[in-house]
Amino acid sequence: MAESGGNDFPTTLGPDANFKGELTYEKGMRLQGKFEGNINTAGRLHVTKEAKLMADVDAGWISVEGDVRGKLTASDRVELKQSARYEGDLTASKLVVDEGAVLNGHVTVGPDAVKGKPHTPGAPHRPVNLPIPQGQPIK
Amino acid sequence: MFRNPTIGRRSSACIAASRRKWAARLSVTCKFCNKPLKLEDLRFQAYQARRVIDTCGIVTIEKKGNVVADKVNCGGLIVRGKLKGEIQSRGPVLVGPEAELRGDVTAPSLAVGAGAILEGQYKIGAKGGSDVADIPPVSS
Repeated sequence: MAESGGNDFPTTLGPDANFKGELTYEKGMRLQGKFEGNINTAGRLHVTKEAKLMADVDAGWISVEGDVRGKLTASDRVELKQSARYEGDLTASKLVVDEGAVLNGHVTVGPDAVKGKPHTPGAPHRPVNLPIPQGQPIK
Repeated sequence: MFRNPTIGRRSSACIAASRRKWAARLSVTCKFCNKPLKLEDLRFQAYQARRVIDTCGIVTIEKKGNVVADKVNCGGLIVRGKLKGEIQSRGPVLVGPEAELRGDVTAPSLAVGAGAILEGQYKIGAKGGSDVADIPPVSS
């Protein structure tokens, strides 16, 4: 896995890469090669034109330009660009479908669509703000 | 199933003036299967329950509209309110912000506004909804 430029996508899976397994990251990833398995992230996933993704993805923001098969869950949004071909079940708060994109599957979109879903195991743990009891000094 | 319907402007004769006039018709007959085709655009502004909504025109569900139908066959669909039913559109489906669309959708393209609610089986793309395009043009 190569580290490449760009603040939004610090991680890139290159066009000659073929990944099988489970992947977790924090910020964002640009997928240019082939991926099979699971992706868990609170950040972004960008599937480029030449990429092929066969995976269940749980992410914050997913942008698709290539071929994707599997279950996509995005807490923020899913964007299917003009060249995107997607087959599977999609759950997201927002959906953007460009003209020419191919979508085939069950769609659940709405502000409450992702709420109430249990956090997927393997996803990065976010810091939890616990209430601080008053009158006690913070160590 | 519609097959390449002859939609558009046609001449109609006025009885009083005995003159032929070109006018947009609200319905035509398919010259292949002889099925009557509605061409009118439909607009729903309140609650309506229908078995089938069938038109070659554009169906619009306004903000206060709430339509429940078994099947919606249309040339295009704009949802600003609520729509529940199996949708087959030959044109683009536009779902406005905070609109609700529940049911299976087959269409060539889809646009969704922020805050819209979608639920159902979706077939969007080149093959979605436009079986007319697959038929080779008839040589005259």
